[in-house]
Amino acid sequence: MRLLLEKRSEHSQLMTVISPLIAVALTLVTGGFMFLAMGLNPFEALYVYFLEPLKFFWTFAAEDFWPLEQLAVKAAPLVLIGAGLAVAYSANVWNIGAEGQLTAGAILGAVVPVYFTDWQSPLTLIAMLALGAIGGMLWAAIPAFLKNRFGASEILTSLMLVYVSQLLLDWLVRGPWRDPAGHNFPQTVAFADWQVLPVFGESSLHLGVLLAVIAAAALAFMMARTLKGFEIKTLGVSPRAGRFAGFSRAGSVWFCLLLSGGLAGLAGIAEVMNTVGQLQPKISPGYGFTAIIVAFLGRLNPLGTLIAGLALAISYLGGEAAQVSLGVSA
Amino acid sequence: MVGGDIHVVHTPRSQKAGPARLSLKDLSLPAEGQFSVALKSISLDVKGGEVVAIAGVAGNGQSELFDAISGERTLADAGMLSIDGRPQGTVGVNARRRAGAAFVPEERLGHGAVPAFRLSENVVLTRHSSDASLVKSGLLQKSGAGDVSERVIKTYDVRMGKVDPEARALSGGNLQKFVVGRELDREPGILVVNQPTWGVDAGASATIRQAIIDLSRQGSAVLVISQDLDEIFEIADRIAVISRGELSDAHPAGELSLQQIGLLMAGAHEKKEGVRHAAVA
Repeated sequence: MRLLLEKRSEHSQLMTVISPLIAVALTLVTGGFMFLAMGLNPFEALYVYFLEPLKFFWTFAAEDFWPLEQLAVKAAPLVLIGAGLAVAYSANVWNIGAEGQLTAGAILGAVVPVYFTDWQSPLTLIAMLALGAIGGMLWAAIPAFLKNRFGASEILTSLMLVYVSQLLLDWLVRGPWRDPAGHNFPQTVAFADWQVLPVFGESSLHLGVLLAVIAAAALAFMMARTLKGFEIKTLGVSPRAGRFAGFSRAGSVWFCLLLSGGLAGLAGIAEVMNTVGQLQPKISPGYGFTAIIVAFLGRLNPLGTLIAGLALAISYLGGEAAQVSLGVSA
Repeated sequence: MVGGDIHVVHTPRSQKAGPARLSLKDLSLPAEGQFSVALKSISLDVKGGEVVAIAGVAGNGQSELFDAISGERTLADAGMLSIDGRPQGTVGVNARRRAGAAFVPEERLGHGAVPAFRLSENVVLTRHSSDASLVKSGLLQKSGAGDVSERVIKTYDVRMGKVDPEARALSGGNLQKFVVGRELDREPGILVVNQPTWGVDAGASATIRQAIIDLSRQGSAVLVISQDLDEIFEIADRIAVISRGELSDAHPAGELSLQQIGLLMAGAHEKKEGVRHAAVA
């Protein structure tokens, strides 16, 4: 029998929802076989990996709530970056360097605690967050300029700039920004008071989690309801029609890179203002790269990245749990 | 095949043509790439109430001329293109639309319409800046776009399988009726159409040609770029011919024979080394 693949005449709403679920299911099956090959019980391993962090939902035990908070804290930067990337990728602007923009944001935001260590006011917090976003935007402006001026592929330039920013960070924390009272460890002064993100009550949920939810919702609204969102989608799927509609390709390159870069920078400064608490040579476990998966798993829909971000955060948490309880190397 | 009677296109003689509504004056545009044609000093007036057609063999600068008139490529000098007497050469496509012009490109899918967008979204594509009911302070008004889409579908008899389908789900003729109807629905003062009935069934062709003529008889200036000489003789009041980026003078349709058009298509009007060849007609 001959198999014919035929293109649908229209998008299928059903498949839009189902296909990422199929992808997740296939991942679980593949993962199960890999655990089996490592001599582990695949069901136990998959339980530890994917379900244990969510235990609260069926035990309702107070001590099981903590992993959920951790999940949200891990998901926050993924969603923040992923939502911005989803918008950029919708316009066919391939920002692969969110990790670099995250680092640049953390660096610029850290100017405040490093040089104005004693300045403590609510404005300190706002200034750090704003500088973080600006740092990410400036870093993303480089590929945007190169793309529009010289036609350089933003895929390459944004990716290569990741390593530039990471080396810059490395140099700063080992050199000029090293904490003089830090026993020669490569790190800046520890951030304190208004230099760290406020948390909600007794939990570990910090302001960054809220910012991530707001960003995803705001971008989802922009894409669905505004002319700007329409412009981005049009230029993404049909550049010629976009030009006919009077939309500027160069303008969308700027907009998308500045937006996704700014959000990555915000995620970067939020990360060092909470989990890390100071600048170190390594400030992120690769959130900027994982967020690319988040954007696609969320079907390039900013709201979808909320779910995708949580899914990927589970794999981070589960990966740590698996190292501890199963003794596998991550 | 066409799902109805094909009516004969009725062409009432043009009344006295009004003042020029679309003026091209020494319009020149360099080639955009290796396979593009440069436009050389094109001059043409299209008056209210008439249909002017530009004939020519494909690839002699028709799409470049369309882009230059629509504003997808802007011109070096504002005076090269005037709409209702006002120079508009340096402004973009949306400013020209707001000045009362409407454009229908040759490619339906991917230029005139986004294949993956619904018809109501494709209304927004060309009318977002000229139609206040579609966008209010940056927010899309879905009901406004739906109303326009419904109206176009009803007026121009666009047939489709389901309510508000994606553009790519329509047949060529039905999508062309929609894309032309979307612009005619604005009652534009100036309409520029590239290949109005290319690859379209006979029934849809007749509907589109009639609608174009009706628009011009209401006082609008209509410029049609076409390779179909039958179509041109059916609807045009005056005919000009483009070859290698140069446009001939526009002659009244009744005074041109097929042979004369053939000579112009071969470049009889082109300026070569400063010597003008024997004028045709």
